Amino acid sequence: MDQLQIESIDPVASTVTFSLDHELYPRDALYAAAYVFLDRAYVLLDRAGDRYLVHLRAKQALPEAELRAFGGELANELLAQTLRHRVVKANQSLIEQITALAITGAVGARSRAGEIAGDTSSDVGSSEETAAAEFLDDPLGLGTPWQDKKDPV
Amino acid sequence: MSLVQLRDQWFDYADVLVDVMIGYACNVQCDYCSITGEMRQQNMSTAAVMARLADARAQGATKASFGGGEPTIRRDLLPLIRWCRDRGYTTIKVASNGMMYSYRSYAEEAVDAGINSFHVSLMAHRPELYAQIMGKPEAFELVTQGINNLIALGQKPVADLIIKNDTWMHLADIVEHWAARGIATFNLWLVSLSDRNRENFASLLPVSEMRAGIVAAFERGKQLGVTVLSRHIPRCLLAGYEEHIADLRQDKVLVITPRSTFALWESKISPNVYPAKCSACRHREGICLGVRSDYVERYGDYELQPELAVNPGEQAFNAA
Repeated sequence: MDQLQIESIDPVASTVTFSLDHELYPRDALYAAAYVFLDRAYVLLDRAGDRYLVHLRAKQALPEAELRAFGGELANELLAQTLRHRVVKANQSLIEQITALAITGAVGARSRAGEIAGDTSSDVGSSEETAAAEFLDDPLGLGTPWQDKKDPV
Repeated sequence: MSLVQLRDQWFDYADVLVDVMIGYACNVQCDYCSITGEMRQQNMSTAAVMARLADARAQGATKASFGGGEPTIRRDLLPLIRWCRDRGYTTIKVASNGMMYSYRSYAEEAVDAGINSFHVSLMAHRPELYAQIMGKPEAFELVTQGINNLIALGQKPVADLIIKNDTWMHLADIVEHWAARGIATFNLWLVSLSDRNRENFASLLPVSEMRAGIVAAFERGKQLGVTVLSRHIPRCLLAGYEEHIADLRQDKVLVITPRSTFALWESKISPNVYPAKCSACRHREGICLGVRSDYVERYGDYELQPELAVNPGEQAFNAA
């Protein structure tokens, strides 16, 4: 079976239904690709077994050739959105880090650069984020984790 | 309106307290603490905390809480608080041992940043006992100064008291001591035999042996006009004092830790187990949350006093 194929087409009703392998594209990419048709067609997403179905009904009467052309456009958009999805995923931690640094500047006059910062490569932060020595006058050392006092580096 | 599922119930996000355990690092090591050395290395990154809170806020959450470990030793805590406040969180709670508030400047910054619900763990009413539990000789003095600072800044700190082998007999005096310094609400939590404290059997006595001290705290609270609530003990062990039993579900707490997310009453240190003896109790799955699993493992169910369900026909017969 083709990866993307026309299941039905009806030029009189200006409708066309495409099906595609559900494992080939992330669902979010399908949503995003279908979204680009909203200005030209009414869109319904569905699923039959292991294939997604994309029903399009053109808002204006279209010849069959143009309805078929929706298929090519959908395929290209699916590829573009899938790639975009991958890029976002690969750069997620970088995006979070940049966002965190940007918000640092907006949290208030008392904030200092570096107050919101740190290792964003995972959900687990660096020991730097738990260190207190630099962020306030702490003559009693109350902001120091007890194990750091016990086992000073 | 977005809904969030906490265990088997759905709640409006606006009613849920999003409780982020930002890390387990701490500035003291209490003798009953359940945090292991390995857990202490688990601290959420700033961005991860922000991502969770941003997501919750986008879904309508307005209540945030920071716990640990000791959250006040995180240098990003106050920026995170300000960030929450500016983003629309209206209730911002921090659970702390209170020592950092002994610095007046820190207490002022904490209030200024937007913390409006200060929860402080209060161990005792005497310096010696405080030092014994927290392992820090000056702890009592520091926490007292911290509470004084918060009260002077117009805050209404809530006290979290731990019921354990060396505190249960002093609970009434502990309530009185801190009530005199301006605390009006006290939560009683039962020490848990989990993780690091798992083998510290001496710390947890049967509730029936500690009941006198617990109810004395309730009575003292009544005399003083302050609220004293138990949050871990099943109602049948506190018969006659049911009005002092808080239902953890009412707080609607969604707990986010460095490793997992769950409803507070799903936690292994929350009461959520019904031993066989509870099978016929009419409060099972109702207003009673059950017993903590570590407690049942240690003491079984011999103390429990199930209230048997009343058959409607039998009820009518008895009434006649």
